[in-house]
Amino acid sequence: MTSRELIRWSALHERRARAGWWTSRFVIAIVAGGAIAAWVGWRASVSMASASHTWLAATVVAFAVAFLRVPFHLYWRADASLLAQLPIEGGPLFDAALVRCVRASLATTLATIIGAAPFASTSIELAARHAALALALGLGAALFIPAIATWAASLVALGQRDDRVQRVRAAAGLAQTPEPPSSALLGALPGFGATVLLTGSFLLTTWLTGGTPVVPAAIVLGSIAGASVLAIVAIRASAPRVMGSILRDVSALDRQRLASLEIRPPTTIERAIAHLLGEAALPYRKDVRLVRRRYPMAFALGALAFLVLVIVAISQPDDPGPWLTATFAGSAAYGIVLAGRLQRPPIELHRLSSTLPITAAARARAKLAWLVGWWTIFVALPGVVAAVRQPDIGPSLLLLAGATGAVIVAGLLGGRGR
Amino acid sequence: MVTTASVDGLTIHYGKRVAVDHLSFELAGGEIALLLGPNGAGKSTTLAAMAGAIVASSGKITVAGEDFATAPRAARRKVGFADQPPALYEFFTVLEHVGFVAEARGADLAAAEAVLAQLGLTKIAHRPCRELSFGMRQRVGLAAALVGPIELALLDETLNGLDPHASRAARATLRATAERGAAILMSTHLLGVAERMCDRILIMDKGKLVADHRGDEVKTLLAQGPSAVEDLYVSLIADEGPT
Repeated sequence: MTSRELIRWSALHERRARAGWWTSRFVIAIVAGGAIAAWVGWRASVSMASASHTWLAATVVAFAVAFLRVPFHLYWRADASLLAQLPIEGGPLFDAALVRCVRASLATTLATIIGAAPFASTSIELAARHAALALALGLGAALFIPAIATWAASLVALGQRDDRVQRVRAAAGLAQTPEPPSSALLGALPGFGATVLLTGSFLLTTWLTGGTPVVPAAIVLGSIAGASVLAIVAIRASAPRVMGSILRDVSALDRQRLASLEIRPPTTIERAIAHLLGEAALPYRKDVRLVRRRYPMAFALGALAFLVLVIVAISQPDDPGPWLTATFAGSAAYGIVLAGRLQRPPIELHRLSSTLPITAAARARAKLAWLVGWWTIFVALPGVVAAVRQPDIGPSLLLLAGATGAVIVAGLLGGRGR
Repeated sequence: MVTTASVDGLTIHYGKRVAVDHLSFELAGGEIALLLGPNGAGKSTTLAAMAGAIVASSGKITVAGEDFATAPRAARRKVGFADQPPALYEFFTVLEHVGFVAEARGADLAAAEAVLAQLGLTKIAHRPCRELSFGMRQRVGLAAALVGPIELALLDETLNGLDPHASRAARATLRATAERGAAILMSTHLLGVAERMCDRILIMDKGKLVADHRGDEVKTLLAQGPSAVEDLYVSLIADEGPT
């Protein structure tokens, strides 16, 4: 099967999986871009710097999500093991995966460029600067991060079988028997790559509003674009050899990793919450364990939100609005998604639950307790601290209250829907 | 014998289609009953309704004196249901899954460990459910159905896909459960396996009960030869394809 044929099949599957035109990623990108533009336009009434910071905060959040999604476009896919079994060369497998990454990146880039549109009413040059950064990050999401993620996966999938590696290990007096490959690389290397790209964006904060940056913009943007193209060319050359193994071994490794699920006892906080829940304690303890295993990202993103809020609280920036808004809104959006996930397999099996002596009200209360607990620890508590440390407390607290209300309503509606 | 489960005038509609049509029967404690019928006869719907997974359009279901309409929670505590396919928490280990169901029914982890041991599943107790093969999933579903102080076990095609050792362990566990006083109602198409342990044979067609053989009738039937139940089934049910 050629790359073109596989891409056609892949696109057909994605179209079939879509609920309707309104879930098309480009429709979502246009809507999201409109929302960013509205926010930027509103902040532009305060100052151009505030509008630019707002755009940068939204762009960083959007591309952070895009970077996180790259391994899921490449190999953490439901069809990975099936594709690996079929007689398809590594080249077409990689090309189809890369097309998915490019399409996803185009959508994110489009949203952020639309978001920069309000700058054009003041200065075409400022709008172009923001668009240039969006394009550079788009190249990173489309080419650089996929190249890094593929490289990481090839190290994990092939590294342990490589004779040269074994010889080096033997010479160094390390274990003679191959150890299970460290799947930490799968997240660590793309995470490192994403950090490099986002750090580059922060270096251009001054340049975006017409100032002189620490490092010339041409160097930063050129480095991102150049590194993206070089990385993808290099990794494409080795793709025919490694992509089949990556799909097979990484999906197998995923199962292997899950086979040794960390069986950790509930934390003190979880035990304390369970203690308060009465009849809902049992489903709560079940949900806690399952969410920890199925959606570890909830804790990673929660920790990120916590960190941003702590930094805002300590550093007390001149214009904390964009950072607080992006963090509260982003966390609330993820919390609303989580509220839906809590109601679906593998967290909730309604058919099984309906045959057990646990009331629907208790199940709903358990899920609401988890959601509120997560929100309180990662967002609400540090959010209150960050808000009260700013000169203008009111708007920040109001925003936090609104986001908290949205998450609680999502939790309540999720429980009532069943 | 004491009546453990009673189904009285059970009717279930799926839109305009009547899946179960005024079905009535009783099950006694210690009884192992076989529920037979063609695909689409309403067997799974009946079992799901008796487990409380489906709300009946009309009729009454009682388990150990508890009415599903008035005391659903008390009734559910006494019913174990092995669905098809088995509903398992994929990110739980086998022991965690069965332990959760046990705790929901008021039993402890030791009960879960005991039923896993009876079914020969101790070795896979710490494996995630999502790793299990078809037959293993069937066995874990059976373990979850039987764990705790149940008085009625409902098994929907649960004996399918088991290897000979697993099948033998499952039959022994079901027999032990029945000897403890619980009633067992299972649907299956594996007549040979089920014939070896059943006390009663119920046959459904188009949502209605068309035959109910018990006690000596079953013994007489089984004594007629290895294909007697199949012959009875074929004589009662016209081959019209799926309904």
